[in-house]
Amino acid sequence: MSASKVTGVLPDADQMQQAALQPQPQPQPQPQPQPQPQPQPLLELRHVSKRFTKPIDAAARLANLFGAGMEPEVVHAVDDVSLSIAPGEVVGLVGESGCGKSTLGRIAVGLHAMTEGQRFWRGEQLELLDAATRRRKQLAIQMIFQDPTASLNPRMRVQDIIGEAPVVHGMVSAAGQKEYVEQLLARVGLDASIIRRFPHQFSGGQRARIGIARALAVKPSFLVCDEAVAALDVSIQAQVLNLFIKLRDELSLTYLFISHDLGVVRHLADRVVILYLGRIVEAASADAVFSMANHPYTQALLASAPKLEVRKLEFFAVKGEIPSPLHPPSGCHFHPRCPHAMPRCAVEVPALKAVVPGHLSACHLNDQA
Amino acid sequence: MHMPPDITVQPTLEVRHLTTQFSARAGIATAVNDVSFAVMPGQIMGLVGESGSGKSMTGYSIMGLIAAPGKVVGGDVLFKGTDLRTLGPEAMRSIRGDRIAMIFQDPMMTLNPVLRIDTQMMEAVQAHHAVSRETARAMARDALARVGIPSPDARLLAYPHQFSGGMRQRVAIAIALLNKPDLIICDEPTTALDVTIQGQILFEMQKLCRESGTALIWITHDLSVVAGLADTVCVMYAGQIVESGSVTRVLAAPRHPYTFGLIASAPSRNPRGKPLHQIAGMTPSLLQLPSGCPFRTRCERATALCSTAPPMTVVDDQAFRCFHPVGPDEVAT
Repeated sequence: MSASKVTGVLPDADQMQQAALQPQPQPQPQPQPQPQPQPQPLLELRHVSKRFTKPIDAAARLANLFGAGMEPEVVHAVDDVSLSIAPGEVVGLVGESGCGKSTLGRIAVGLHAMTEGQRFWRGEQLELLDAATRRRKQLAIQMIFQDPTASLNPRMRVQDIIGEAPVVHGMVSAAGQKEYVEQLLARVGLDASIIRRFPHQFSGGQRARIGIARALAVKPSFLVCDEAVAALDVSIQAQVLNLFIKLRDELSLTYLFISHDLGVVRHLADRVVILYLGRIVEAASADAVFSMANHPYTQALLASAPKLEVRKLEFFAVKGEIPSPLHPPSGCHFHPRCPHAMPRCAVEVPALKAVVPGHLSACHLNDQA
Repeated sequence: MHMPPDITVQPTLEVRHLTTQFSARAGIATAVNDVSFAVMPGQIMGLVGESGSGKSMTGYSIMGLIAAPGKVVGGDVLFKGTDLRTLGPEAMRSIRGDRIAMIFQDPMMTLNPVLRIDTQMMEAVQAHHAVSRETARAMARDALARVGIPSPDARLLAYPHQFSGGMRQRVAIAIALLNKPDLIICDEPTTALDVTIQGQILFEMQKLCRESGTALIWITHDLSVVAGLADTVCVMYAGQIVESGSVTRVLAAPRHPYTFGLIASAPSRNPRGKPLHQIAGMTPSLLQLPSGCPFRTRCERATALCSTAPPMTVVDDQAFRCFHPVGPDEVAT
């Protein structure tokens, strides 16, 4: 996986549409950025898995005494995912509901413990550090949550919402808090006069900006944005996305941008990772994903997304439902919905392999070519 | 109003100067302000706007679902020539759910969680038609099959919680289709769904309208859904329709600066990683609207003239409410 930014002219929508509908993957021997002298990744997740278990209750335990054979329910929210993010990079994490993208984001920040796997920050494995050191290092990773209303304490004033953490962590003195918060408000495009107000006095877009200011307050270098613009209206969404772009340039931030909106990800991300039911199905530079998607799921996703440019086109219907992560299909998770599924797909989990350097895809079709 | 005057076909729904107000302690909010449009049989109209623009309230006003402190204060809602506003509650009840159906955003809120699907569907049939339970059940079964629910006979016996979000929305659509209505009003029915599921539902709705001649009003905030689905579009801002016309015209050459800004701010219309075109400011409160054009405080083109209300200007099959429209050749890039 390359960290370097791929620039180039975006293909127009028709080409994209066609590329997305191509049934067969067409790896093109284009000079892709080589993955050789890699800078040290800022954050690296290695073989991370997260399982949520619902233990069997007393009644089921009793039933088991009589041989009912009830087992605890296990959800494989994230299943053996490896991801490394280079400094300054914007990685878009795309998937539908239940694919584990938010869980992965929370693992990256340290809000969820991993069931398996390792997490490295600037080459240091975070799990091996003592709690105090780890907490200090993790301060550099901050999160922006989806719902700007639910993630702000309704009983706290803006000054405390934004200023609490930097004071607790000794970054500013209690006396300097007000001035510090005012600077942050200016940075995210809010007026300093709102500092004594409560969250309910703001619109959705303003609340989103407060959430961003709160994340920035502890001077992070890495931001996990979990559907940060999904709840906003189109015109406000553009303003907040512009703020993300501005902050990235000003503060040289690195983003893990979690979204279901391909348009947003395409605009912002250097590299795109597509998740389906807890596994990475495709990972490549944004240009590669949007112009020559390899995995049938990515192709289906691109073809289903409504586009402004398309008029009266028959909607492309992917058959079937998203399966429950409680009982994911065997083999390749996508095989019951895949138009190219073969017998092998139901048995064997496809490995995530490079189709061309820097373009990873987990599909058995690539072995046939 | 942008429709060519075709006297041979009567519009399924014609709304004229519809105005709905909500009175609050702080004053009177005009949620729907002088809204006029027409939908022909088999036609799909997209009603687009941001939150608070009055798009849902327009749908509720047509259905007669506005409750106090709201009130429809003016205008006509002509459904196949009959003014729905003159009908009494009983007559309205017989039309609602039979000739006009509505599909809401959240199917978990619109389906009764303690009743089986067959009970809910048969009730909707038998409320309007004197048919036997067997006939009603057969109609329910057919409706489920039509919206693409596998093994409809078995699914009739299920409860709403046993369905996924997409399946639940299909059930809601099936209920709307039961009595083969002439008009369906859909209030953001796919907003809560994943894109692949949304694609399936859009595909089926488009097919159903074409086959049955049902007129459809699709309320959404997402212009790109309308781009693929609808024939005509009305863009709402602060309770008013600011632009309307055929989807092809409006999306290719928007004339109102608000529509222009909405289209230009879509990430796919902007070079990657560069700042997006943005509309300054935020949606004004309906209680404190600027005089004249409600968009003028956010508009780059506004002049002193804009503090008087601009009239609707009609050019070919496009209508817009602006003194300084975007030129037909200015492309949103």
